[in-house]
Amino acid sequence: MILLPNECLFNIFINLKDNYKTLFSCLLVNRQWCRIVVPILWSKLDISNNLVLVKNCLLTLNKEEKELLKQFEIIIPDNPKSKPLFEYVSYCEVIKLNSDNGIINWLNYEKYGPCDLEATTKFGEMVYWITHLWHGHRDLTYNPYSERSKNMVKTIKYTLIKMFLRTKKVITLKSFNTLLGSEVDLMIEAVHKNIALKRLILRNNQLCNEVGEAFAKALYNNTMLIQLSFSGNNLNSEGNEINYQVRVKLINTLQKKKILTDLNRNRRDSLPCLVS
Amino acid sequence: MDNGTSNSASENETITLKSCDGIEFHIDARIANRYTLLNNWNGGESACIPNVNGKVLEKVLEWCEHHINDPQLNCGDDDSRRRNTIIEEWDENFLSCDQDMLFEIILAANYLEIKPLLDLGCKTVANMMKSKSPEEIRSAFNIDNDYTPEEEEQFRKENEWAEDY
Repeated sequence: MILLPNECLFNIFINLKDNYKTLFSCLLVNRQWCRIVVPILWSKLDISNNLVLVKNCLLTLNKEEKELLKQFEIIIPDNPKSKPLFEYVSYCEVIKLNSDNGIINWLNYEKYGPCDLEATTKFGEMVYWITHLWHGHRDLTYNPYSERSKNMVKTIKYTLIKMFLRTKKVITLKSFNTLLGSEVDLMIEAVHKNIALKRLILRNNQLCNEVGEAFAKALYNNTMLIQLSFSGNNLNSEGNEINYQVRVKLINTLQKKKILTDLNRNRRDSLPCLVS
Repeated sequence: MDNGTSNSASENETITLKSCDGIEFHIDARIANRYTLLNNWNGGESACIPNVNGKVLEKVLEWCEHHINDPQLNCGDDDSRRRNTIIEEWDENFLSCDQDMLFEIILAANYLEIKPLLDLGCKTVANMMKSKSPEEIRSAFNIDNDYTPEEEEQFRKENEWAEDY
């Protein structure tokens, strides 16, 4: 084969960026190809259902984040032997987590999970709802796990978001379901403290008044963020319209931010969603 | 509006380019105007394009001539151009040459900064890899495996999630 320079190989592989199976094959061809393919393959991750990806992300946690998991006796090793060959997660720019199944599967695989933890299946959810309704319960939230299990999953999710917000310059958090109060705090902290954070893209999340309010405050003080995309977020997660005053506050803050040159440029639906 | 036909050169104007092995090509000046590097080397009778031989330059110029009236893309269009995975029939036939020639065209397009041809060549190679195993790719492109067995196994384990993604 005529040797192609890395820039041409990159140009070839970028055409396969959504074809993970072929990228996986290319990665195993030889070392040169591997070095070029890994950043493309790991640039966009959906860790919702995948325990291997969850495991890889957890290996990137820092000491403080690992400490948070010790209350559940979860020990993430920092022994170099268990480290992967690449720091894969460092290449990740888009992270999607719209179900806890990946985390639950990882907990079960590592035998950390209490026995009531089981990945959600559509069938399981249906059985749960039927039983629930049969007994006359009106609350339709699917919540079959014990408090400890729920906290365990929630804390892992929290540490993952914390790690992403800490380490990335460009973050896309997509479809994270409802962002909890503690996760909102993380966002605010990141907007305040992560001076490397240049672009924050929050798409298709369930947000609430609290998030809008918190963002308005955090953005007011932030001087580094140049892109914020807020599109596709459902701002009335509890069936209530987002508070009018919160909406006004958020819009006013965003309008005053001169450094924020790229706001929802790609989608027209997001700002009207705030304004309407 | 610049649609690729508004170059200053007129239709009848021609210029001479010489490949690195001394073969001369008389081409429509509008082609050279369109691609900066071709234009830079149009420096008189002795001007030649280093690194690109006559056989390859002939193919590259054939492609440029066919696409002379294509709209010119801005740098910002890189992504949209890449996302378009459809290869036109003429281009497909043009690139159904032997593998060495295909790679030579990619190298020349990269060297001469003819981006649409570079993308086309890369897209063609990417299509040739689709759904192939590592062994099949190695044998299709005659590539040696320089992994140690242990290393290959570890990379396989760490990335096998991608196989069923």
